[in-house]
Amino acid sequence: MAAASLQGSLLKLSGVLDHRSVVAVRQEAERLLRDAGQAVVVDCSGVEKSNSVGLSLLLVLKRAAAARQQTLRIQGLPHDLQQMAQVTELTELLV
Amino acid sequence: MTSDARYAVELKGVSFKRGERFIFKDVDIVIPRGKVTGIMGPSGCGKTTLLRLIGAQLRAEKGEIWVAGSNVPALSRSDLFDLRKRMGVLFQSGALFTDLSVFENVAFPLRVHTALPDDMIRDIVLMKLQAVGLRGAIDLMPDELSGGMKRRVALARAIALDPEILLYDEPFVGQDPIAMGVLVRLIRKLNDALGITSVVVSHDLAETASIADYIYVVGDSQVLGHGTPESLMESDNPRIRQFMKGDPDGPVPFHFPAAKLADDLLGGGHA
Repeated sequence: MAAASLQGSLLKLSGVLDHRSVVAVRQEAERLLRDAGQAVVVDCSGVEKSNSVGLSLLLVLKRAAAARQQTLRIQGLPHDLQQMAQVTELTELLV
Repeated sequence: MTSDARYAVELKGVSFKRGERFIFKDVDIVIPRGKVTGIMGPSGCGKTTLLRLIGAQLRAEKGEIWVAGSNVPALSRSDLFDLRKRMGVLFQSGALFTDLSVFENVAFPLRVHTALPDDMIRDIVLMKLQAVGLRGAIDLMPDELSGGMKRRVALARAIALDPEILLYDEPFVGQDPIAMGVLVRLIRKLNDALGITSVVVSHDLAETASIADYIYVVGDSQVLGHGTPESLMESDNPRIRQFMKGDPDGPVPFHFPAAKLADDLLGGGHA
């Protein structure tokens, strides 16, 4: 089960983010982003397993935040997503 | 489940025939999870057939083929469809859709197998093309690409769905030395970074031995031997030694069976 939740300005992603679950999580995360204030932190430490769609979700949130003049920082990227970010040369874009 | 979780693929007592001829007879093979395993052997020995058995494009006469925890011959059609999404295949020919751009070729499996919106499909296509060094070629058509670039686009497409197992069918055939070096590096990089299990079917010895953690040598409808590339180089088995060292003559003879040369030339044989 994958989910997005908000605590103040901390947007937490959790569970297994795959091709099936990501669309619903994206909708929820984008909705929560609107109430997350100016400086948002996306916490991925609760993501149990993911793949390219997890990185795409983070890019979607980055673009949405930028369009709203919010700053968005990502923390707690799990090992599998770090490895994938490295192979796809996204590490610097996902800070 | 598989008998051993260390293996991504297990073939147990597998036999496969074409007509009356055995291509494989009671073959046992295990493919370690997260490693690069080479399947090697002379042309025509059934290496591609082996990949097709693993991918369930062919059905074995006998035996069990376990892939990612499922016995493939026993799967229903829909379970097989789901299992195939967890496997990527790099075909020998590349098999790009000639009427689709590079972008659409890589996007194809995502459009067919997922309900992702267009912006996420674009993200993933760009990521995969970046991984193979061809993001700049996104709008080109396949006939505008070199042979090596086609193979790399096909690789980007093969990893579009983040497969657990990646099957490579003769990835080095027809590639120039630079393209070959790029592919060797990519196969190893994707395997190690993404935790993929890679099965490389090839008769290109140097390239396969340079990236494989483990190699099976097949021929005569059996597994002739298996081990690390280094251990196979030192094998006592003359068939394996001939293949690994590329000797022109040996148990696989240089000459196709024929009458004695003297009989043919001096004995008044047919003109």
